[in-house]
Amino acid sequence: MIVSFLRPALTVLLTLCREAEARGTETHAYFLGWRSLEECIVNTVLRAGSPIEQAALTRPDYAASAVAMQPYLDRGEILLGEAHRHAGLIGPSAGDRATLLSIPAQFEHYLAVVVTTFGDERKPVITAHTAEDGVIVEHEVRTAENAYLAHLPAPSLRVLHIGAGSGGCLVATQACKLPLRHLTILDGDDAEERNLARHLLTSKAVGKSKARMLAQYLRPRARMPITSIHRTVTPASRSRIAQLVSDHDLIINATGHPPTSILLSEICAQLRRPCIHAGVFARGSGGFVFTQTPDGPCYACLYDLQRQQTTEDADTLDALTRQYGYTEADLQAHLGLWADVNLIASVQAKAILEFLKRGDDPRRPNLYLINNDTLAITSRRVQPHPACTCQEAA
Amino acid sequence: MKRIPLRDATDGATYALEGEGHELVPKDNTVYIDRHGKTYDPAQSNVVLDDLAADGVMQLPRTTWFGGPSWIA
Repeated sequence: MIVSFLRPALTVLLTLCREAEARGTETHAYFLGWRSLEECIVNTVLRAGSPIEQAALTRPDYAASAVAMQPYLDRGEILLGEAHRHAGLIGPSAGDRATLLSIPAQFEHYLAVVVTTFGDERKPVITAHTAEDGVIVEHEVRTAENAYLAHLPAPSLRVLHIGAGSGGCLVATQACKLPLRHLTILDGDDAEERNLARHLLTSKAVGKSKARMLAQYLRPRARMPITSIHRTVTPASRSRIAQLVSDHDLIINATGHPPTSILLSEICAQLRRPCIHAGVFARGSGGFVFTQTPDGPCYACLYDLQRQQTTEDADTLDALTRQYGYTEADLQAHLGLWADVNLIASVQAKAILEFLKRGDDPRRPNLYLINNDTLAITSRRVQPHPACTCQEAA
Repeated sequence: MKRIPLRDATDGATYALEGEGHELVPKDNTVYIDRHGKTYDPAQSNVVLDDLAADGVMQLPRTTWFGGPSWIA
């Protein structure tokens, strides 16, 4: 893990340590900020009340600190750990190590930061350690210019990307640059002439499998192996799709097709696989991106949003004409549709990135709504719908 | 069963301490502090669930840090 201090927080910490050095005592501070899987950023250094600060021992003022922390916790920061000073001794002492190992398990990745001052012109040395499974682990300490958590873990996820259409090809182009272990592209359609106005593929792909041609396009641009599967997601292929879902760690639903999305959502809920869905509203007016995680809401919990979606596949063009007054001629004339789809695809790619960084963080939004008219993106944390069948399964 | 809201400062979630009112709160190096700063330290004295403020407590790890190589807890 990388421990990054924002400069104002670092200034506060070093000031506290210089003052303690002048007194000849230890000093104590809590620090708060934000954390992802690979990084934490310290935004607030908090020395509250009257901590015990003796020559070689320090203990927090729990009462004053808990009250002082409340506003920071209320605005979304979390308690990352504690800092104290050493004179000349770099890193945690034997007593510090014992304290770190005795911290209860519910305080996961709790940081012990030691600021070592030397009483001369040497700059202070800052170390950061946690206890992981009974072992003291040292972490890299840096300064950060802003609070954006940017570091990603090493490749470990096998991703199943379903849908190689106008949005899916854009999402996959982003996904293939991320640190993933493997990327599988699944789609049951062949490329058609009418797709080309809204697709990365060229006329050479017409009549050929979209999945295979997209995988071919991505391989020279990718960081990981890419496999293609020419298969349609239908109730008839459910068991085969379930096997594929089971073989992967994260599912990307770029089909934009509500019935397919509901089927994928059921499979992912049963197999406890996270799935990032996306949908485009009628005429490309906007869309949504939804991250489904085990024990959280499923696609069917978003009933109202499904009703606004549309789809382009040949089987439902008749439905589009009846329901939305959207003819195939309209579709051909709507050359801006790919730019509109691109915005939803970009947000879906960003949701993949956030999942890589933070996993299923219950404090983060799981639903993004995109308005292509106003270019506004809003977010919220959706809870399971109490009447949804996913709650019966849970 | 009594339930006391428990704010976890390290993950931003709110849980519940559950049990019979006379049950001892676990002595696991955790200190509990209510909204007004009253501290409940199971390591210092036996704290039963009924002693905790009904509107909730925050939990913090009980820590002591040492300045020299030979100091131990």
